[in-house]
Amino acid sequence: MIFNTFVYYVLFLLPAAALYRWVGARSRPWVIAVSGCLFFVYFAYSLAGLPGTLCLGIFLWEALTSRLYQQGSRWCLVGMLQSVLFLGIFKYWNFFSGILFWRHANPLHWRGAFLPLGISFFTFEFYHYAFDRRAGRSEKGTLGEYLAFILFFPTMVAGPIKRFQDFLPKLRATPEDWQHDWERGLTRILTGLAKKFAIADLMTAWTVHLNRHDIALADRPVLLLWLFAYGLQIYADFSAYSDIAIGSARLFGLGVPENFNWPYGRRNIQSFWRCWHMSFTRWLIDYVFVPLGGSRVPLPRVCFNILAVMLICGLWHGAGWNFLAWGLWHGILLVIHRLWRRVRGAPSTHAVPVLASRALTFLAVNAGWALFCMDLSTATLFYRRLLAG
Amino acid sequence: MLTNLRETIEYLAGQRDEPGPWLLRTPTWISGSIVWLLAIALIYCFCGQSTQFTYINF
Repeated sequence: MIFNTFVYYVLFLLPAAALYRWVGARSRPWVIAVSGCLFFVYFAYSLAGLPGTLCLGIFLWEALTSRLYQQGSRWCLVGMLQSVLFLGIFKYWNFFSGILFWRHANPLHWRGAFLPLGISFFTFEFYHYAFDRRAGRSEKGTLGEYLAFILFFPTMVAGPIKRFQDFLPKLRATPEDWQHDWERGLTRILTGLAKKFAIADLMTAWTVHLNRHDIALADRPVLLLWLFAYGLQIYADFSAYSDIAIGSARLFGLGVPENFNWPYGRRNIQSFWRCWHMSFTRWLIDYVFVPLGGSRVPLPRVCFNILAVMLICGLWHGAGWNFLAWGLWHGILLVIHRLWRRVRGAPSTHAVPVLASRALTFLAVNAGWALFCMDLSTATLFYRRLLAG
Repeated sequence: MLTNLRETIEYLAGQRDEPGPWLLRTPTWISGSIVWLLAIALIYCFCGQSTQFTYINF
């Protein structure tokens, strides 16, 4: 919901984007901040009621503490820790407390657990700002500018994940040629909506059969087709969402990062991840992979780093064992690719190996989707039926 | 050819600002109108199947 509701366009996007163009430079960040607050309150209430709405306090608290962040300051560490803590409590409390009381009733189980709107994404922006302020890589900005950064509603709920140092110059610049921006922005939004309705939702109608009962009855070719259909669905769905978010931002005259660059046509798994959910991949590289040592450490440690990053990537997608298994699958693929590249050197440029590597990458990525969309026992049944009949 | 196709698709979808070589001589309003009409027709025909985006609230 949200991007496919009239309310989003009529009550929020069009008025806020028009007002943003109309007011003076000083007021622009506040137009974004206030409209972001109203957006959050409206949609958080419709998703999670009053407790969800009160989570607006997380943004305001983060904005206040962000004023203390300075190069080398411990407050930045506090900011990084608190952003992870918010995510941990809301998203992973029941998962980790369940592990703690394995095979017993979980006395710490949070019955009324809910996810604040967009927490999986705004956590990354909070963390990035604190991290980069500590490293001296980001300007402080005014309170209004920082609020505009974290409350910019087109990207608040599901990205693309922005960087403050990229966003700030665009926010400070006067948006020009609004006709061109609106033409391009609306075209992008319409394309995204068409992609969502005509491709993603059509595939959803098909992949809804990915359940235990239907898997047990289905033929092997059908199982394979389901997997490809799910691969197409999730790509069309999330890239459509990103199209609408980027198009919406364009109406303000603000460019935000791209999220997809034809990922299914890539030659290897590393290249796939550079083109799939790109703003998230870049975040993982900059704030997890590089601090762990990146590629500048011995090969076994590089492989460990890759696996650790992909396990975090999997767990971020959902608090469940299947997501961990999905992350592990991609981690193993990336490690195999790294080792293969080490042994074989630069890839061939002949047509047959190029086509074969593209097909293999496509198959490997799609093979993992069952782990993404089913619990672990259903996914195991799926693979058993697919491979052994 | 694939590069031209890609540039054309990206321009028509609103991702790219400059039209690829195939659309250089086509007036913007013609290609834009066709894309908008097609997109609106697809939205009209296929809307109402699902209300969820996968990545919302996950």
